[in-house]
Amino acid sequence: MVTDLADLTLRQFADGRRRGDFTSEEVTRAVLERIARVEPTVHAYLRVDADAALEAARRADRVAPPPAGASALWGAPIALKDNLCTRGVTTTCASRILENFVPPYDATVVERLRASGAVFLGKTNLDEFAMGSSTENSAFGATRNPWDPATIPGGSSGGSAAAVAAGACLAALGSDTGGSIRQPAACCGIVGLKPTYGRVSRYGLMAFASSLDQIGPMARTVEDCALLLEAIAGHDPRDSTSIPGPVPPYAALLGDGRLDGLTVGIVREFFAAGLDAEVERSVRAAVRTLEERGARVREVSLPHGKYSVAVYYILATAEASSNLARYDGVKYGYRAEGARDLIDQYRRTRSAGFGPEVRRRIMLGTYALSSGYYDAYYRKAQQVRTLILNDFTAAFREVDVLAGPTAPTAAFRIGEKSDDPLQMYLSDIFTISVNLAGVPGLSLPCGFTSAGLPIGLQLIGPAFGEETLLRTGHAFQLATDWHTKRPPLVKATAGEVP
Amino acid sequence: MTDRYEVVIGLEVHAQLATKTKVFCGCPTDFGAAANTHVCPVCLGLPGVLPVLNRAAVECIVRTGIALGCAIAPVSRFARKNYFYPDLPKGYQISQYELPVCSGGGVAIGAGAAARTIALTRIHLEEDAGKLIHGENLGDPRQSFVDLNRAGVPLMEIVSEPVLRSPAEARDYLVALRDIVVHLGVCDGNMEQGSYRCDANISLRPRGRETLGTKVELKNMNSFRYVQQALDYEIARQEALLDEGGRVVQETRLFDPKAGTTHSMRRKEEAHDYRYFPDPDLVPLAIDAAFLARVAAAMPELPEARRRRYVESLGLPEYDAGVLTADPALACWFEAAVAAFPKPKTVSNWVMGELLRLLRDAGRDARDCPVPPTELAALLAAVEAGTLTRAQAKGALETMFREGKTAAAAIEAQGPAAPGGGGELAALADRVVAENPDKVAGYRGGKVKLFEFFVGQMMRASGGRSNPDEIRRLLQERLDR
Amino acid sequence: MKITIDQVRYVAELARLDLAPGEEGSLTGQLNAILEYMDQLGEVDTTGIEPTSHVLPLTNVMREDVVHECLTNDEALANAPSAEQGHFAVPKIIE
Ligand SMILES: [Mg+2]
Ligand SMILES: [Zn+2]
Repeated sequence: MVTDLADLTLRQFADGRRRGDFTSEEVTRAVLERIARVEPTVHAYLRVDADAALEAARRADRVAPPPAGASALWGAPIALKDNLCTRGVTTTCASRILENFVPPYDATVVERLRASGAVFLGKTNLDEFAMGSSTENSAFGATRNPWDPATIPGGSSGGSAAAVAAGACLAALGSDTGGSIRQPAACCGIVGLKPTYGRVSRYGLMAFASSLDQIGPMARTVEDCALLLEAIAGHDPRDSTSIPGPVPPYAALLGDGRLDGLTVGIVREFFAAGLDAEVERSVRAAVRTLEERGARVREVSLPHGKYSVAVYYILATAEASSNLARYDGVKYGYRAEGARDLIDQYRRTRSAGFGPEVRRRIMLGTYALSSGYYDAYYRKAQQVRTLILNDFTAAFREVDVLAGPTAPTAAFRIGEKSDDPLQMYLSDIFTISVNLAGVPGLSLPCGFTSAGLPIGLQLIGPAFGEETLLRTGHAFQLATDWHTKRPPLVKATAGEVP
Repeated sequence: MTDRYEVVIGLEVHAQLATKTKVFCGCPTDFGAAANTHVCPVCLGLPGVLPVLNRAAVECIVRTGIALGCAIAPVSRFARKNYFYPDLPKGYQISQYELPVCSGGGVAIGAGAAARTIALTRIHLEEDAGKLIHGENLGDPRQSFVDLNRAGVPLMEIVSEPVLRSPAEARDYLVALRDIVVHLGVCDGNMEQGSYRCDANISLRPRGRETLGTKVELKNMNSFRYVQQALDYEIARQEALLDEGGRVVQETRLFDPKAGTTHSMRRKEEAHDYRYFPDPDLVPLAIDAAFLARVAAAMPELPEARRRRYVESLGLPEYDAGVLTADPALACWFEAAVAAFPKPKTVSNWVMGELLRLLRDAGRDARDCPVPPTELAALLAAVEAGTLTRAQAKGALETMFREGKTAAAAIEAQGPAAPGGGGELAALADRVVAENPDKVAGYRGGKVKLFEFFVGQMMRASGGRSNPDEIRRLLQERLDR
Repeated sequence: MKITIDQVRYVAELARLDLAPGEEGSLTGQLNAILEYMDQLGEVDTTGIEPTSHVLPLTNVMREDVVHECLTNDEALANAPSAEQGHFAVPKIIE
């Protein structure tokens, strides 16, 4: 069982707090102590607001939560990826260009979590503007994987994933444009859900690629992800791309662990060359577990999946080149000194303010949209996107859930792919098509490599199929204990609860 | 004007839509607020914010499209137009590119034999940029300043085909189009405040040639007169250039109202590589039959239709109908007066004569006319009843206009009716006409000088104290029908 | 398709980025490797395929024309690198 309050799941926290086993302040304090212990190694956070968190925890302890059901997050210490705007609290997107930016407003998800009584510990690290798969592209230093500090935590939500894995928060929010929740979740041995496009409001999420970005929960269990999703999902009149309609009570619909009647599709192309043998072994074993819980398994094909990285890096960079045009040193953010004139100021500001990967993607996206190339790149990519979407639609006529690896390998070593952008892009090969199709994807731990690094199982559902995904993942976690493992770093530093 | 070259002009009008709030956020659109106070995270382009389309702006453009006979696209899309400028907070303008709301349609100009319809290419919805203020105006010539109050204000861009053939025709088109958008209530038409702006594309080609010459874009013309001046200047400039064997450079030129000339913009325009692409933050607009029907049902009457109705149903001369319908506020005022005093021609005479003179002298327009239409009706009823003469009524109306008095109070202030005035005089006119049937027949047969005979009879009978204008009017009423 | 160093300069100009002399070359190389990978899209037959800009089934998302509260001038300018007399300040612009 739990040896330290910092290792509680959200569910354990909610039950214990309600029973009076501990207060929010006690748990928040335990988490802050854990942060103090692991942060020098992990560097999951860009800022920790200890005083504000303790104050919020005490307030949660003083005030009665709303009626049961909505109260699971009351007083729960949670971390936010630093591309989510927080009113009055610096939000940097891990970029020099926003180093001192203080939003005058809250992202909708932040507003909703506040209303749910969540306690915000601070802002977690990411690849600058969420562009990366390793969190090495942060302007403020890389985050390290708690399972092995020589390896990457994945990215771009590497800070949130590492924080959850290290007990530096009970749960966190991340964002996922091409795998940025699921791939770090896999690397850090936690659960991460990218919801259906439109399920969660993007208002206040600093945009990378608007037609792909989604905010989602990262936690230690599928059940915790369900609790968080319930709190953040739902229609938002401030986001034209958010879907109207009620939010299912996801946590109440997790089921009893049986999967009778469920058909799981194994994506043939996901098990092709390039997939690490240990990863393949664990993922196949995980599928057998689903079968044992009553699911039927069959093979399916997503024939256009192999084009998804190419499509993604055209569409995402094109959108990004436009989304990042607002960072010009006029209204907010960094401004370079000593410019000769306005254009010179723009150039200097943006060249010094953005890191190399961001500049590279702006260049790529600008090129793809520029006169004479739009049809060859942007339009073509949008057409292939249609074919990828059609693949998923066809697959979900046959099966309820798709299963496969989240990433082709476990976490790689820091620096290993920094000089080869294309190799870095290919580490998202299994996650990207999910964003292109707009469907939900869940990554959950399903084993370890011989080097002791976590391996992620990816489950993919049809649009608005979160309920099925979560039920499947929950059944898997009832049958296995991968999600209860803690990194050696945590064991080495954690004390017993008296 | 040149006879060796044919002038080809296309106009782009940016009309600010008469909505309460901006096109993608709830900030107010009123003119004249303190700098950067009508702003929010959305129109400041802060990171992470998202646009949400204003329904009223869509209704305005659809209303315009219906009125101008445009095809309303069943599906239209918003696109981003990417370029850097400090008045453009997001580094892109949300506009429309491939699928605008309206395409085709036209604007009727001229009358009779000169009547012509100027074809439109398209009308699309977009957001305005902010305002740049040159440093001199804020006491620091080394800098420029940005006010984003206007950023995000809804505009419709109305693009004509390049079919206008002269500056005068361009002006007629702009006037006719402004009349329409003002009548539709979709734009206040104020050129000085920039709610109705115009850019022109102009090129010359030797007569008889098919291919268009190199076009120049003209900006900064904030009155109809300036548009005409700028085009005149530009025709002369291009003509001289072509005559010398020179080439026109494709460029943007600014009109200088003081000098009456145009000059090349010093700011280097980029190669117009705007990298348009569909805005992923907004979903398509699908205007269906129900939406169209709703907008059509709420359509105000257009100037042309109203003019026709004034002639056909109210029996007004074309001239009166034209004057009264030129300003929608005046037309409304007139209709309210007619509702209370149902003699359209009498009301029209008073409105076009006395009322417009009073308004003009006071520098006001019908929108803020101090006399309510019902009060003019009351005054005219008094004239008809013979309680006061026309001359007295004129005086009373002036008092009503200047002092805000009611008709009753103004009549009271005029004192008793003049001797021989009002009904008495009318009765006298009836008598004089009835007693001289042969003279009446002669007059009506073409002996117009007999009119003076009747005037003389009247003057004599009233002892020379009556108003000769009034006598003439009463006689005309009886003899000229 | 190959991108030339001149195109890289042109794109940098459009994107308002300064490239150091050495960076131009290395970036051209990296972009070419990526673009070469993207050329595989050429093998997909997309005749008659509608482009997807959105996976959503949504249309006509609109709000009512109702005024909301604005930021104060101080709030609006709070993050500005340079502001004077209620305005954002930028280097002098010549038209
Ligand atoms: Mg325009
Ligand atoms: Zn606003």
